[in-house]
Amino acid sequence: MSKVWTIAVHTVREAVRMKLVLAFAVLIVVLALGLPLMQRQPGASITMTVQAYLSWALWPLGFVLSALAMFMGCLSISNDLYYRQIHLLVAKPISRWQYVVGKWLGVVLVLTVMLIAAGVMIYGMGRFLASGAYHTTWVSVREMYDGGFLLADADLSSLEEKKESTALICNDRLGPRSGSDSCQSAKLSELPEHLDSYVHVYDHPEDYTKLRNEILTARATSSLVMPNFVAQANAMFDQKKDQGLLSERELQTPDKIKQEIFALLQGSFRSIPPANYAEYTFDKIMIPPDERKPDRVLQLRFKAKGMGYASDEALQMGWVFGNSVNAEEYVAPLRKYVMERYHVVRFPATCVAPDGTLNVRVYNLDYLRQGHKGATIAFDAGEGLEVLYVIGTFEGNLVRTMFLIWCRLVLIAGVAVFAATFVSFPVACLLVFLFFILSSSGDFVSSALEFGVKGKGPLGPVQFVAEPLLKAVFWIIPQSKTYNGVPTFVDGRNVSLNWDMMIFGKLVMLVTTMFLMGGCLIFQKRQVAELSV
Amino acid sequence: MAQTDRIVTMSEYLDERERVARSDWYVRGTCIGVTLICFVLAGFLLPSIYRQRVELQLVISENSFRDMPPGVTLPAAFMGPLRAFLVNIVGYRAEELKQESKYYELQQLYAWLCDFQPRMPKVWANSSWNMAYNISVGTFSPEERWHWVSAGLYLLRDEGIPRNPNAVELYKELSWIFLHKMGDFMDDQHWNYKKMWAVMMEKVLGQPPPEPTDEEVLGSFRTIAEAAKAIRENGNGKDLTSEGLQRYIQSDVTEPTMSGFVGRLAELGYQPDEKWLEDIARYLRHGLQLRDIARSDTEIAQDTKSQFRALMSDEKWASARDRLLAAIRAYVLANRFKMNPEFMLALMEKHGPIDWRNVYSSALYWAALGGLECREVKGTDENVVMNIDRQVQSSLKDTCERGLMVLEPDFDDPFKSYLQLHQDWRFVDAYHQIILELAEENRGNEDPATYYRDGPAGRLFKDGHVNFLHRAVQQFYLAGRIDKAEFYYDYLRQNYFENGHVKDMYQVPLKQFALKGIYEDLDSYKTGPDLMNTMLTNVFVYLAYDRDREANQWLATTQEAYQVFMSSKKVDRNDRRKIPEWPKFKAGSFEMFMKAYPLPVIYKVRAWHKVDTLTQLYVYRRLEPMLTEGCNQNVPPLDLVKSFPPPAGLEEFEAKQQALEKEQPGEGDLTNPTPETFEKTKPDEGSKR
Repeated sequence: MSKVWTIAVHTVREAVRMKLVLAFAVLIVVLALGLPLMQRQPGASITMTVQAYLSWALWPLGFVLSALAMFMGCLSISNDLYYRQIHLLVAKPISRWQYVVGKWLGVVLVLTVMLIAAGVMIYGMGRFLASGAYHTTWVSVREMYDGGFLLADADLSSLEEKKESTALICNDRLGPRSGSDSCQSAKLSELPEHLDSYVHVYDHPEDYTKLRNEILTARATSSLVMPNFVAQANAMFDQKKDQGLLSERELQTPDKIKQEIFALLQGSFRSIPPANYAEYTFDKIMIPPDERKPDRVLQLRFKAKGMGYASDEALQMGWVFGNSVNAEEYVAPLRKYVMERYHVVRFPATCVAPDGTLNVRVYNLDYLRQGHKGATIAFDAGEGLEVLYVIGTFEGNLVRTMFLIWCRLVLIAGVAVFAATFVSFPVACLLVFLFFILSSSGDFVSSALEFGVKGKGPLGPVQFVAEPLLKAVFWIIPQSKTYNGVPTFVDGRNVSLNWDMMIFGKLVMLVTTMFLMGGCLIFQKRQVAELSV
Repeated sequence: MAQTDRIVTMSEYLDERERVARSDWYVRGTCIGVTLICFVLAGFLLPSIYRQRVELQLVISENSFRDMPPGVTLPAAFMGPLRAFLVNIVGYRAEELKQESKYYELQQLYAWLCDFQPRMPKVWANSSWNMAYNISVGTFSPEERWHWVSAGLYLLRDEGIPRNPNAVELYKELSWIFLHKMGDFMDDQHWNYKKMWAVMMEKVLGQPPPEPTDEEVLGSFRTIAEAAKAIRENGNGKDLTSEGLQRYIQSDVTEPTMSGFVGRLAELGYQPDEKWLEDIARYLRHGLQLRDIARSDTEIAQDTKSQFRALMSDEKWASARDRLLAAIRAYVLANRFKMNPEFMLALMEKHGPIDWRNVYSSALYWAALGGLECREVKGTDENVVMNIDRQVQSSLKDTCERGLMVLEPDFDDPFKSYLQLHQDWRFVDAYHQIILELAEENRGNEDPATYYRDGPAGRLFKDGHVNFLHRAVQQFYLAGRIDKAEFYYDYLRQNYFENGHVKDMYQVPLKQFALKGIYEDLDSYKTGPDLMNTMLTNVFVYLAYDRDREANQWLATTQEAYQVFMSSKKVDRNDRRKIPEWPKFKAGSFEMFMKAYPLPVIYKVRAWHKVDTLTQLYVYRRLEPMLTEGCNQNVPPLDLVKSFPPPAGLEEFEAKQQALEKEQPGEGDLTNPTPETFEKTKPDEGSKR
């Protein structure tokens, strides 16, 4: 193992000397720290800015480090071969597999260090943006005083909120930025003494709350508890059969008919006719008893459609959370919701029963519109109705997201080293790039190729060979969406440890090992020096 | 073909190789020569091609290129064919995020989409539409809504149109956002958009005087337009630059000079900038203000802006102040709102005293500017021209119907401002004129005799025109503009016939025609008092709005209606209506207004100060508890005596009233009947049929 480590350390030293790595390091610093300056979203809230930053910082980070993994992995062996350094190494008591694995490990070490550094920078910049420093404005206390007094006491109370949220009064505009110690927090009653000072204010405390509760956190999902419709579908099928309502043809495909009845039952469970309400239950909402407080806010996210209405129609809905038996009841403000969009309704954690269940009554109030009979509201399946609750911290979530990125980098490095064992640098790069593209293309390429090998597709005649082959290829090339935690993280949702472990198992332990073993085998047989007589 | 083998000597081989090489050079030389000739010949064609490009308006304007940021020109230049690929990726991501209702980076993505295709108006229009319409409705708070609506608006106004000044579609879309999204009543937060826009514009243009004449409004804006011209001439001749502004200020030699006034402002910590304009709007408002009536123990009564007010109202500096104000306003309008003050003035001269705080005014501005552009661009589709003209018409129509603005701005939270929109019949002439113009435009090649058979607005606009003029005649009459009412009544009589004769409905005198609806209601003893109460409420609302002229006219009309009602034997054969005499009736209506009409307290104070003493005397005691409580609960607390001063001679009046009541025990106040009054009046209710 020490020989592998020696090769790895050597590769790291080599990387430190490489201008390529330096260039990538600079690029990452620019991306991590410069992206906020590139945002052109005037008037955007802090939440928007932070989310956009996290999304833009992590996505290119993954891409840039993948490119670095590709170049480093391919260069590590190709350079040795090209510059004949391999002759020195193979002459030493190092086996070929140790060499290959050592090279891969070296590349992974470099990538890990860069990923950690980038993660720290992104975290710092994210926190900086979240502090509101980019959004607050410097206002003279005298101006605030004038404005406040001119308006009303109500505005003075909002001054209090502003002050509490930022809590800085400085003797000059450059105070906190220049690191001056002339800044201090002051109570409202002290304001007149600071009339010539400046206050750092941001006018939207609700934006901070949203950021804190919904983005800089890790939220888990509780989906709708669906009744068991299988027995009901079977009973309905039997009833129809007994009543002779099924044709001969339908009787020949009972499973299909039962499936249709099942889907129908599920659909009607998710639908609410006008002037009606539906009662839904969500379970396994894991909130510790001491966290079940009125000021802890949970979110219900939904997407619905109004049957027979245009997609942008707004329908009125009422929401009642909890029940009066073992949890508090909360009635959300009545609102019109635009259909076929995701919306969030917020409610206090006290609505969740001690056993972790939540009852929700949804009222279809569309009939209240004058001249309308009203439309049935139907919730989408899947994410159409879900409850989100905090389960972890932002920091933990970031670490788990970075771990997913790391798994991908490890895989790319493995593929690159594998390719470099049998082809030259440019060809190896092309191969890894192809792998990367196929892996990032989502379902598009795989479904297009699947179509090609089936039925009337060009490879239809050899479907029996082509189809399993294709499946094998796409098993080896995992789809990036399955291990891309960035959208989940940016949305403030929990990137679970289970997910991390599953991806680690597949990407690192299985696929990467496979590529490395392949690389070792090939390199074992490869002639690294030309025999000259 | 069989070839004969022949042994070639070395010298032959070398000769042949040299010959072939030479021949190669000949071929290459000839090709290069032909290519060069082609290039030269093509060069001769260039001037002609370039001239045709200019003629056909296929060139991108110099301005558009000059103003483009590097972020636009660099990607366009370097990405080449990859740009299309990137556009797809960005567009796909934007659509995906929109579907998932994740809006956090959409503003940026749309900006990039537009940057990648800066010459495609449809991309700008679609991006703007998505933000202003599709995304905005997915949010709930006024701030979020306004963020997206304004993002769509600013994208077109600040970037789309300057980069595509010939793209009529963009003017139309921008005007439509003002007219429909912000101006119409479809969006449940339209009032917030209107308030935000009104406050933004008032911060720049200040509060207009209460009842200005058309000439005053135009005259006031003319100074801004003239300042704009002067700044342009002092700058680069095209734009209103800060250098031009500085030179204009410094070149002023008329005493007192603008530079001198800038110096005075600097002493108070002000620069001639937007902040200064905002403070003028904020602290120099006309009429009664909260600070005038606040209790002396509240901070609001401490005037921290007294020096500023003193300087701004110092007659010594008045002329310099006005010139500087006009210059700064022109500069801000041009650079922040991207509006040309000279074109704004031209619109005001054509259509009337436009209030630029109104969203319909902005809709009119951009539609009119688009109309002007599209007439200069060759090959513009006729439908596009017609659509944009229709938007000018719609903007004017909305200005007529809702253009008169009453705004009590909250500069810190514009959504909390008080805003009311009323009919503004000063734009009747403009709307009437535009309908005639549109009718003529719509006629095309049709024979005028056939087309105008039904009237001067043609077939298409006839009904709308007639209905509009009917309302105009009535409203002009009620507003005391008898000359205007007569003009349009005559116009109707002379232009809209029935079987070649004047219509029966126009055979009656103007007064009867104008007050027809009112007199119909007065024919009933049930609806008559209600109608008069409504008319009196209008009087008090206008008083509260400082629109005394209109209030007086409404008062005169109501009094006339009262006399008609009281003298009509049809309504009251047996004297059953029993409504109080005029002063008491008016006082009762005023009491209802003070108690129930939804207006901010400052407006009620203004109405109280303006209503006649007799009315005050009738209602003061009854309102006193409510007024006291209202003053105490207001934030900041108000001084009752300053806000609602007791009318002079209150004690004497009360004594007199008590004496009268003793003399006339059956008389009661029927506008506010009590059980006692009911009991008293019961025997008088008359006999059964």
